[in-house]
Amino acid sequence: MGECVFHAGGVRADAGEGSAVTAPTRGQRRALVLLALLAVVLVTVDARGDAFSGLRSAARSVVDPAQDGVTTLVAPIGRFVGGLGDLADSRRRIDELGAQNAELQRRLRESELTGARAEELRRLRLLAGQGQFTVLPATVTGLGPALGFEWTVTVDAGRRDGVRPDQTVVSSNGLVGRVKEVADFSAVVVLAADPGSSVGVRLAGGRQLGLASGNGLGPLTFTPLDPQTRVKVGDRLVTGPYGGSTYVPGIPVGEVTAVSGDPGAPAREATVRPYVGFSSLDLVGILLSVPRTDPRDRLLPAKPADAAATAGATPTPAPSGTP
Amino acid sequence: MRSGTAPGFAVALAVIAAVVLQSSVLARLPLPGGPPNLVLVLVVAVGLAGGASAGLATGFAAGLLTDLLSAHPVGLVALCFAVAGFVAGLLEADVERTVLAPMVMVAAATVAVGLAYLAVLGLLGRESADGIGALPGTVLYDVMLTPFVVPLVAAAGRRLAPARR
Repeated sequence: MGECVFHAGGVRADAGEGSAVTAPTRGQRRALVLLALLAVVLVTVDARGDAFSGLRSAARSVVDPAQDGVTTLVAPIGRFVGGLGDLADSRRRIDELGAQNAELQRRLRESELTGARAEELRRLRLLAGQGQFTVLPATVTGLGPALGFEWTVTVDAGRRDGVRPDQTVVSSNGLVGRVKEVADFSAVVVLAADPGSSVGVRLAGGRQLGLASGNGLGPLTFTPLDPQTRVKVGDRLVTGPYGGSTYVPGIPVGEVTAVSGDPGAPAREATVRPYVGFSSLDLVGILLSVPRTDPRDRLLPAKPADAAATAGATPTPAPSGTP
Repeated sequence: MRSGTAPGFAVALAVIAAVVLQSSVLARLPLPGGPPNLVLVLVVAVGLAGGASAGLATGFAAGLLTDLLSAHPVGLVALCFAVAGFVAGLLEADVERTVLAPMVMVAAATVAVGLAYLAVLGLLGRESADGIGALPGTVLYDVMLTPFVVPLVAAAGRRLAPARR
């Protein structure tokens, strides 16, 4: 306030821009001292004991109705303003929780996938061990360019990994297809379901040979080479032996679900449900080496009927081994 | 405040309104820092407009009402506000020309009142809920209230008591 000059009797003194200082009159000074003393006494008395509870409650009862009214009136505004204050905070919190949630969900899915893949991989290795071939696990990275027209998938293993054209591709459930084209780090696999694909197959438990041809989305069609071959529902197919087939022998292909023609009569054709779900492929194995001996029927999944027979239940040709 | 009872009555109403607003609205605003102290701003404004006597009386009355509605010893805020109103009454600011001087005064008054309040509480061996950490926020909000309250009180004072001093 700059330099203040006090004069008695309420004379003003200039003290900077737009402001002035007035000295208090004697009466004013006296009043100040009096009130200050009164306040100090009040404080001392009240601090010793609760001396003014009556006055307090009286003041409360006077002010409370007004206060209630104002509170009721402005409560929504207060909440709104409070909300504004918290808005940035809430938004940050929501973002944080959202990110956390997404991360947790991703991890959960990942761990589920990892678990599923680990199981797939284990079964694939089991199959390879049983069949005595070397399997290269690969992941399906893309479906064919024209699914439905040409049934192919792309896998993430290629020439550098030892993949060569015409190698057999399996999943833990059975035959997937064969390698068609090989790039350095990827390969295109023609699925057994491809309408142009036909796989030399053999009826499990026998020597009858035939062809299983793909029908796209539909099941495979089994055509026996020998028209006199008896085929019945529940018969299982594995890939045929060396020779006319490019496929590794003994790989499970599928199970007969329907036979055309009269029952008992020689069948022309049979419908085969593949063991592999071609539309949900993930982990596949490329067979890099061919077994020295034909594994025959060893790789077929245990027939539920066999297990049921030992358990004493009625043998039913239920489907097995498909996802 | 010498001409009749109209100014005194208006100031009393304003004080009660301010105290009610203070306790029901301002004190509950979830603002960072302490709440604004509208009653103190009003006391300073009345002091500026009406002189030391008016500031003293208004400050004491408003402080006493605040005391009675609070948990701390009665007389504490009355003392602080009375001194604040008195000092504000000694200073005169041309609020028409600038609100800068009143803002500085309000800031100083808020700091002084806050410190005095805490000091007396400390002497009595009590603790304040907010403590000194709330003071900067309160100072800021009080200064922000000043440009609205001080000119309003000055205008009302001119209308109700044109022959002031």
